[in-house]
Amino acid sequence: MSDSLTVGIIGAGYIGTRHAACWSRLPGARIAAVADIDRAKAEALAAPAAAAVYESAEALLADASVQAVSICTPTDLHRPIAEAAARAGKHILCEKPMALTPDDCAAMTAAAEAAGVVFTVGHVVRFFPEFADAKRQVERGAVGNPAAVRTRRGGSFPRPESDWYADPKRSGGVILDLLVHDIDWLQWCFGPIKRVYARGLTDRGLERLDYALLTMRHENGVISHVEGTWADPAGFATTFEIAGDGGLLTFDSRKARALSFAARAPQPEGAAPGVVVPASPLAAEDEPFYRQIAAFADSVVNGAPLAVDPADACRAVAVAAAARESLRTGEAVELG
Amino acid sequence: MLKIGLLSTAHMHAASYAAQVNAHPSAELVGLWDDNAERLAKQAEAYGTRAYADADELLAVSDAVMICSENVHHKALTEKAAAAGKPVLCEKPLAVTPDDARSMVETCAAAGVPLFTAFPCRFSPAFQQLRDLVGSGALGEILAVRGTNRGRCPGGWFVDKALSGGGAVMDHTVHVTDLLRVLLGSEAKSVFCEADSRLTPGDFDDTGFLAINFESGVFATLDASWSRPKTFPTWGDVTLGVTGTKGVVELDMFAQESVLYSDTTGRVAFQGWGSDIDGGLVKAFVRAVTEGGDSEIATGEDGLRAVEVVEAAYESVRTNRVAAVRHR
Ligand SMILES: NC(=O)c1ccc[n+]([C@@H]2O[C@H](COP(=O)([O-])OP(=O)(O)OC[C@H]3O[C@@H](n4cnc5c(N)ncnc54)[C@H](O)[C@@H]3O)[C@@H](O)[C@H]2O)c1
Repeated sequence: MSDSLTVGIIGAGYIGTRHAACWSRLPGARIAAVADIDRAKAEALAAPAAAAVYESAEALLADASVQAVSICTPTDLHRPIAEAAARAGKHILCEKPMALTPDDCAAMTAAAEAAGVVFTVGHVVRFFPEFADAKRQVERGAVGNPAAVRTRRGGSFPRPESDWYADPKRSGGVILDLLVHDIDWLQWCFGPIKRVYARGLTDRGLERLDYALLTMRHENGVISHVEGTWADPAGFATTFEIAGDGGLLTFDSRKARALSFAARAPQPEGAAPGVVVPASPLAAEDEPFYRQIAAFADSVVNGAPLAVDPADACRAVAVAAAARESLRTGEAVELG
Repeated sequence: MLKIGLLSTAHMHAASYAAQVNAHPSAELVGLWDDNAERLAKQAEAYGTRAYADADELLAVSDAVMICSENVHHKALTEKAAAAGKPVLCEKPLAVTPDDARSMVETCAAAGVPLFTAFPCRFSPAFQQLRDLVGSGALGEILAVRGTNRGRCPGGWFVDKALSGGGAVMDHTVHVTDLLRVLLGSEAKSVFCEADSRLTPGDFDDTGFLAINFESGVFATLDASWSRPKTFPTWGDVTLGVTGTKGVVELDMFAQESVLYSDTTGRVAFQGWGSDIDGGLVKAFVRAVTEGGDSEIATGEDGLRAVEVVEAAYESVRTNRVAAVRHR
């Protein structure tokens, strides 16, 4: 890679910090600027890279030295910031979910196309080796024709300082925020979902409790089921299983652990970050967030095909939106 | 000694129930009848009991009966037992339609004969602890449940709709539905179901994902698929993931097992060592017949309620919409 990709990170919270850690070790890339409305957070991320600090996305986007941005703000801000970034001619890696509604997604895609910038979305699950391997297994026929697929994802309620996850109007609740990962992976592996029936707690107004069960049918006939929880104090975990006419592939992050650590002393109160992503030790270059950022940089610098097409990310939001609609109507929702 | 007759051994659970009766200190297996002569001779020998070619003769010497026939024959055999005045423990599903199940309940009530449904999962010590946990309020208010009851495709008459009444949804909906009713103290109100025939050749549903909504507002899903491959290390599973306002519980009913890697059989197989839930069922049946008033064992009504959910699931599969559960 040429030595010239300069990056701005917008949103220096939990996931922004992860992006920064990956950008900082990607050969040929340099963090040039960090923006956060909370200046102290931006400064903390910017300091090791001696990057510029901004208190707004707009100010960072006006910095001509920035070529590409990681958008890591709360979800309701993805659309306006992505549109502004496109207008400013920056290449964009936007965190998932792409936006709150399919309309927002379409507008963002159009803005990026009009500006001719590289635009992709952080569906990092595609870079998790177990999920990527499952797709390869399906493609090589390891389970025969897939028929019944199940995933489970979740843990306790995410709670960053500003607590924006607790407002479904900002986060979309557990279905849009969390299950969009599984929805994207399911459509990546088994093609478009045509029908969804969902039950969940998002609109019940419960104090920091969200949970949902999605029953879905893909256009190719596969039936899938997704469980999502922000109500499980036992900690973050993911599972999947793919049953086909020639076999069954199963994964459970609670069992597939190469390393476990138990502290004798209790962890100090409030030690847990807002969101916990499962960490199974991998070589540095195999780490999913690193691979996601390397793939985006490869597209920007070398024109490599996008690992996540924005159209896919948009379709994942459309399914999540249909699931939210199913919660409201109590009926199955057909996707166009 | 309570003399128990076994009407048909078509269902594989017959072997386990027979062994449990034989092991019971105050019950005995007095004989068995089967409409299949080969099965009759073979199983009578296997269970060490007398073979009856005539069901009425067996009824005449029995104090109570267990029915383990193909699903479609449950109704006729129950009616026969009721006419003879013998209490019945009938294999699940109680019947292939709610109307049949209702008629069985009525017939037995009119004859003054108790009718029970074989829902052994109620006697799982893990489930009973879960039920007590819920009762104690430790989980707070229950909000949602994710359930599974997967298995291997059993083949044989199970995949012949004329004898079974349906595929995986018919076979595997009722156990977890019954557990949910016990746990929630609420009735199923509506069902959405995606089902298909994709895993095993043949015209029967082998994949069934149900979503069940309860009167109380609790929602649940249930994977009833025959989706375990032949190489799976055990027959299948019963799991419940219960989310409450104060906590969550994961139940994996048959997870009390060791793993055997055998070069002799060329297989990996789970070796279950948990308490035998069929033992709990048979003991409860004997108790209910001899003493009466056992509240643990599922009644005919309980069996009927579960069959109503099966009916709604198949209706939903036809319409791709939510189907109301129609109580009889
Ligand atoms: N891929 C994953 O696994 C994953 C994990 C967690 C979060 N996310 C996504 O990342 C995004 C951020 O989530 P998070 O958990 O990091 O949240 P967070 O609250 O920890 O971080 C968000 C940051 O954005 C800042 N911010 C808010 N408004 C801003 C503005 N107008 N301009 C600049 N900065 C602003 C906040 O001050 C905060 O520091 C969300 O879209 C979330 O869904 C993805």
